[in-house]
Amino acid sequence: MDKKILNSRRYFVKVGGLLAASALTGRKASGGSAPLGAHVVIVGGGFGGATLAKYLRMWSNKLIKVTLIEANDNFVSCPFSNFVLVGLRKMSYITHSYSNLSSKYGVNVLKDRVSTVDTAKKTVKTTSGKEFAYDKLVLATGIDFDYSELGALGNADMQGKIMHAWKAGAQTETLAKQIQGIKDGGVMAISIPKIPYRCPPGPYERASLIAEYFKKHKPKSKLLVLDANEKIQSKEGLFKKAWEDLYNDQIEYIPNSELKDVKISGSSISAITEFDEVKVDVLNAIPNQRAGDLVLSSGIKLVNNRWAQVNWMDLQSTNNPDIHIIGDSTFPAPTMPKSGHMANQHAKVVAAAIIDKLSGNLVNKSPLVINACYSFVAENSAMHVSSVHSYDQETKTMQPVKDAGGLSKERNGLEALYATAWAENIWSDILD
Amino acid sequence: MTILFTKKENINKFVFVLVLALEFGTSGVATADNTGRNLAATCMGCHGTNGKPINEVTGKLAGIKSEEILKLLVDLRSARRTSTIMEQITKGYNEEQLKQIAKYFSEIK
Repeated sequence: MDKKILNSRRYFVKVGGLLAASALTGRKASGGSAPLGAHVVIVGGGFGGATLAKYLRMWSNKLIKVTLIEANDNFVSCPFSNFVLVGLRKMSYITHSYSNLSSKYGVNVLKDRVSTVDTAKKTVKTTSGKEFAYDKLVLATGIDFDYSELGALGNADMQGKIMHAWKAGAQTETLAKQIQGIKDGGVMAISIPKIPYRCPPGPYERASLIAEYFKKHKPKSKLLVLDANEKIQSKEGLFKKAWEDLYNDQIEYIPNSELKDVKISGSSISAITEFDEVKVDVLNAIPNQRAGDLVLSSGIKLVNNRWAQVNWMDLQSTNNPDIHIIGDSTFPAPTMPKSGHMANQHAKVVAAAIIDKLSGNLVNKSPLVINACYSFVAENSAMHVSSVHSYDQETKTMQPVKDAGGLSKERNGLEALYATAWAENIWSDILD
Repeated sequence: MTILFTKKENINKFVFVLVLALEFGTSGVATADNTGRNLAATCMGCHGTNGKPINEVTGKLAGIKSEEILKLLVDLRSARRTSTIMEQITKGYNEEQLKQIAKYFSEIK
């Protein structure tokens, strides 16, 4: 299979060269012929990977062959998964099919898991035994969890009982059942890892929506927020104000409180931090995070042994010109958050760069990306943080554009409408 | 050439490639300047692929006259027009970039 791909690519490149010399003479010089039949393999179909698959096909007029390898049947969105936890939305709202990527754009979508990358041969192998040759490989593997400092939570049995729900899917459904099954007067805790983790405001949005749920349905229940960080990591003032105004009786926020261990006896769960032990009915433990396993094992250059180092002009690995990394797996540029929106933007920079590279064109030297990040503090009240990042040739990274971006002046209902529109439009931009 | 065309399959491939390459050549994709497209793509997460959102609360941009889009963007940036987020985001682009974005969306059918 892989040999065929390689051969057809070489064939197409030769013919493309001939065409450039004959049929296309007289046209504006493009700096290179079309990327005929080149093969891009994308690992991971989240906000970044699925967007990239679509845009590569769309912008290359379907000339580049794209294989998207994703372990799950469907795209399940983390944004709005907090609504599912408290029963305000169903799983079907955040679950979307990859079918348009195949039928409309001709992406080869494969349900499988990549086990190894052979950078010398430029192939990937999947756990089901398939092998694919690539011209360009893109790792959009998101995050994986690091349980090494979480005591008993390191064992699989415990992980089956204590949810992270920080990758939307089955864990979201289980945590929703646990939360909705809590008795009035019951206590829940959320533990937040040290930054950097996926979606900095996400845990605080989750806390807000659970607090609203308790306030409406279980007014005697309490939510402890055990934060390993010294303060709220995003939209701090806005979250603090919302919690003071709305959830004084529900939320107890405890900073500098890193979860160290967990014990379960009967129906009681003990969340153990450095200085304290609290008994709760439900614990949502969000573990420390790092780049996806495949990023760590692929031989590309890492930062702190956790994240992929990229050149921010085109998100190419700094030690492998044929591999790009997008989304949460990257070691971020200054002030750049790990967000779904950012991954969607990374994907477009890389789609343009890969098409240019395979066509022999110069890559855009001043790419720009934006982040629009909404958080709900109640079913009908939201707020945002935004930023714009532009590649700076002097510092060789993306820098936040001065004076651009910022926070909401206040939480309100209008922003809740925008937040919903944001989600529905970005899902469509990724998959439709 | 002769080596390439010894098989019927290869001739078919050649025709296939020729058709695609001609389409590719006229589409503008192969030319290096995709500045407008790349900048416009930064809007598409919220405003839909090619400016066609499925939830139109954020605003459809496809097919709107270039001058209208540009005026809107410039007014948002200078806060002559009130907004929640767009004032902050438009400040990330210079006027030339906003022009390119406006032009790109205006040409989408």
